[in-house]
Amino acid sequence: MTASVDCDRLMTELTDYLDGVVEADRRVAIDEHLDDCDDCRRVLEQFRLLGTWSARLASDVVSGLDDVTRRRLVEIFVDGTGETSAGPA
Amino acid sequence: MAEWTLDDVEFVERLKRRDESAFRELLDRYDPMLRRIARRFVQSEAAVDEAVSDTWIGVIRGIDRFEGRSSFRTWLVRVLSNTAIDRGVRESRQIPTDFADEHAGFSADMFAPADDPEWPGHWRSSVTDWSTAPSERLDANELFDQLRVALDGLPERQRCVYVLRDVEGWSSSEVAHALDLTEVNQRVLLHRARGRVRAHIDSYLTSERA
Repeated sequence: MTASVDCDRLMTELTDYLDGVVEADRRVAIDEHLDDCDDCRRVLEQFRLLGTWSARLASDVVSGLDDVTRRRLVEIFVDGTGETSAGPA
Repeated sequence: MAEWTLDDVEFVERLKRRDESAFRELLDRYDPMLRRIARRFVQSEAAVDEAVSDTWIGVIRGIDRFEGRSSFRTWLVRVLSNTAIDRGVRESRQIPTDFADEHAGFSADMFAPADDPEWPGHWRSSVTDWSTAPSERLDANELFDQLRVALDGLPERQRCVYVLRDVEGWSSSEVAHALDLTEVNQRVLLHRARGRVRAHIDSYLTSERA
């Protein structure tokens, strides 16, 4: 026997569900609930959309390593101390 | 970003021998990733340079102690978070896993109470189908700007987990290791973050244009 699935409770479990860490019988109960509940299914779809959209932020452009800092880091590495500041002079 | 494809063990050995070309390769390979992640962690362009430089210094100092029990990128971000993140992230390790009181972007008033005769615990009003949002709201530029706003507005620990899991696509065990959290706690933080981001985007997609 499985506990019933209420929408409010399910909303605390969605990430566990998506990560595949809910117990097998609970997963079955959640799947059944999702079959019947348009609202919870929409939130699940929203989570999936957010995942797809968020992954695209990984291609956001950030400024690169400047040459001065790069040279200093390499010097520090070769020197082996790591004691000096690597910031631009 | 793809996982490291070279042999980590051999590569780390080259670093431990102070092989300059290995270090240059390391910078080329990982500095862009570190900068991108640091940008979301520290939230100011000025702080990114400092955080990333400090991370590389930490890597140089710590390379002899790297034991290869984690992937290289996980270790780098661990150094970054040790170095750069506000102390608050690390000092409050105790994260309550029972969040009955906190619906993580979902508030109790969205649901019928437990003693509701008809639909206890069910949605009071319909959840929006985002695919029916006005097309100008789904315009990529504006939508992604809103997503960045939502992300930057997250509490720090939630933001760090969200960035690594949902932006960078790391596994829960990698994120837990990089941020020194248990997998359960990183999942709690991720869920709260997702709930908040969802609420932000939902209100953006459903509100009237100002």
